[in-house]
Amino acid sequence: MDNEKLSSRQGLSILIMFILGSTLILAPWREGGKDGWASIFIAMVMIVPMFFVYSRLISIFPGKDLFDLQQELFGKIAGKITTFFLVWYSIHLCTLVNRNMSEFIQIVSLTDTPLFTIAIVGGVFYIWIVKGGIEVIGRYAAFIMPLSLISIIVVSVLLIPKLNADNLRPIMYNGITPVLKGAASVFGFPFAETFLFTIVFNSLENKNKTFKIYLLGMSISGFFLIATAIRNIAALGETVNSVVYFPSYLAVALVNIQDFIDRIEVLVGADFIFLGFLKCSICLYAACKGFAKIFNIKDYRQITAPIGLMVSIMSIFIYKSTMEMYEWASENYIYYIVPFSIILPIITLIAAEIRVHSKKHKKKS
Amino acid sequence: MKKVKSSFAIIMIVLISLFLSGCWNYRDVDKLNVVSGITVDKSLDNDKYLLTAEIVEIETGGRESILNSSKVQAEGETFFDAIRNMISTAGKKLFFSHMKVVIISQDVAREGIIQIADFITRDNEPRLELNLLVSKEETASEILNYRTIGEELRSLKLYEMLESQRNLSKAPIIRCVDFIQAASSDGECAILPLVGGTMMKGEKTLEISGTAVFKKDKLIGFLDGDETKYLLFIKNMINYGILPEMGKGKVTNHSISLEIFKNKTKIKPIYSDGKISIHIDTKTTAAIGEHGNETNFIDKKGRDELKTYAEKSLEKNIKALVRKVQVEYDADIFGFGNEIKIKMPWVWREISSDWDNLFQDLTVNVISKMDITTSGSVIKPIRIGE
Repeated sequence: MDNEKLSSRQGLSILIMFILGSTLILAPWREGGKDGWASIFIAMVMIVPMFFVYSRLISIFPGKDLFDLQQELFGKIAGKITTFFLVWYSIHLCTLVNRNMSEFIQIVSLTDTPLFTIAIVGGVFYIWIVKGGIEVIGRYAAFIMPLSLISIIVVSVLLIPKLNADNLRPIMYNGITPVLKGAASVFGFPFAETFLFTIVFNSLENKNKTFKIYLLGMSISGFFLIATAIRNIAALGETVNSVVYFPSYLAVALVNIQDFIDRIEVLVGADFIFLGFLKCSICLYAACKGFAKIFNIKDYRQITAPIGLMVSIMSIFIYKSTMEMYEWASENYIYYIVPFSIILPIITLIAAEIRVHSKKHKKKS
Repeated sequence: MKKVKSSFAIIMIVLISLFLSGCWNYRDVDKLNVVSGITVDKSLDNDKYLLTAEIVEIETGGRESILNSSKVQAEGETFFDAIRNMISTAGKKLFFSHMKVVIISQDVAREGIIQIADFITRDNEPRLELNLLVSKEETASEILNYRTIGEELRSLKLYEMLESQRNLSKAPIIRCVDFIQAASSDGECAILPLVGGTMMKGEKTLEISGTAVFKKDKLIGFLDGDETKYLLFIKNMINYGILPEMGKGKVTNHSISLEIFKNKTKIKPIYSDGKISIHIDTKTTAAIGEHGNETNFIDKKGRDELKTYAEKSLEKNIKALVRKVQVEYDADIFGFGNEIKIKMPWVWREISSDWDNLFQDLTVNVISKMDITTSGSVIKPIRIGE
């Protein structure tokens, strides 16, 4: 049906960009207060067992992704229902990220532009790249990933003269509870979202490396998240860092080297758009694949446009205001993601393992 | 198939040219009033905000373009209301991205200025790195009428003057983000630099010197330029500066100046028997910058004498400043509370609620160390003939 192939490098690039995606700018670790960097570290440790589950799901039935497994293991009707759940999640996530990006653009630069315009322009491009297929996304990621990482490093280095290490201390003054809360937030957004890669990585050339790619991608992007968390707190101080929507953007706005290099925060905005664009494309890709499986459509590319347009429009009326968006993302999202990213994959894996073992048993007897 | 492809291409071209041809928020430079600084006052007859904005006017013609300053004034119920009301006199919308300073009058500062800091953070045009200043004069708007040396635009001049304070250390340089951090911290009180006018050639001329002391976001008092220098010593914010008074008094009756090259201050909280005290260590590298005396202070013996005298004098001045702030203002502008929080969080947990009272009776010890490393190009003092 589709013989799209991703090289390991492309897979790694997609994963890194997906994790950094909207996380860098929305900074979900801020529930941990000053110790947000510790929250990220704890979340990184917490997610490793889930990576075993995800990578096993890819390799257990070669050539079959998470959607295929649903119908294979739970039967046609039940499988289609669970697939629909997963598709709903991908669409919803795409909507959220699209809304975040639109809000960001509206708040920091285009204050008079209606959200609709920004969201729909984004939507057109997701549709375009997903129509190109996962290979195009892979090539895009492999090309953009180094550029965006370099630009993050450059702005962070330029910010060093403005950093104040005292803003980070004392470490864990309020005890471990806020840190764990922050860790839960970071675990859900972005790390647990990577379960969508059980679909993407099905196109990997070398599937034995899946776990390695998961681990490497998580470590690299986790490192950047920790560095960003420390940088933001040290540059802005705890109060400003916690009261603004986009702390990374404001922190980098403080760069000023002899009145010569300043106002470079637009680089952060560009990064966010590049990374968030990839995250949306991956979500849309997963949603289209799932829909194609439910309705037995041969090529997922056929339904990209309707779903993509639906996502763009949904992202406008899903929340009434920026405040509502932020409240929902920071309070409810962690509970919302658990059934999709943890419970369903684990159940699928258990069912798959039982199937594999019983097959082996049959062969032997 | 070919037809479908070409029609798709046409649709894409139309869509892209529709959506990507320039920004929705496109604004021409000549349709904007670029604001370089604003002053915030309280109107005298009613309790409204009175804002004055300095606007950059670019005069082209000739080889170079000249920057001129013009002013717009407006009243408003709230800060933001006043900002928008300026349109009615200015005609164009004001553009705040290049704003360098916000000067706040004493009246407004005494009532609290967090709404101004909030506006700077919230709005997407003003930048968090702009400098806040408090006016020493009766109103803040008169600052923009004072004479300046060299530059026509008062706000840009003030920004330049603040940057140069690094060589003088008589006023702190506080960005908006620093102010918010200090004002919201429970172990520190905020400070802002003071701007005023001094008589020169019969005209009031801009001058930055001294510190405004805040408690939470409300102004409660002032420190003069020399006191500010010792405040910056404690806060480890000294870059360069002159210690002039060394010469006067016991050692000699002629003048000697020490030029500060480097300073490192360490604050150490000490907790014993349920009582907290603060230990300040300053380590200064200085040079003899002026020597108007027949007694030789450059040789070994004289150097030691000068060193001890300078250390004692610095300790005395720092202690006097701390005492003054404790008695008159009871505001922890030195950030002692933060130091305790960072170095002894377990102690801070107990005392933080009572910090206001504790600060007033806090014992502060100072030990200064001065290294005199060079004496310029002079080996020994110039002898004056009998």
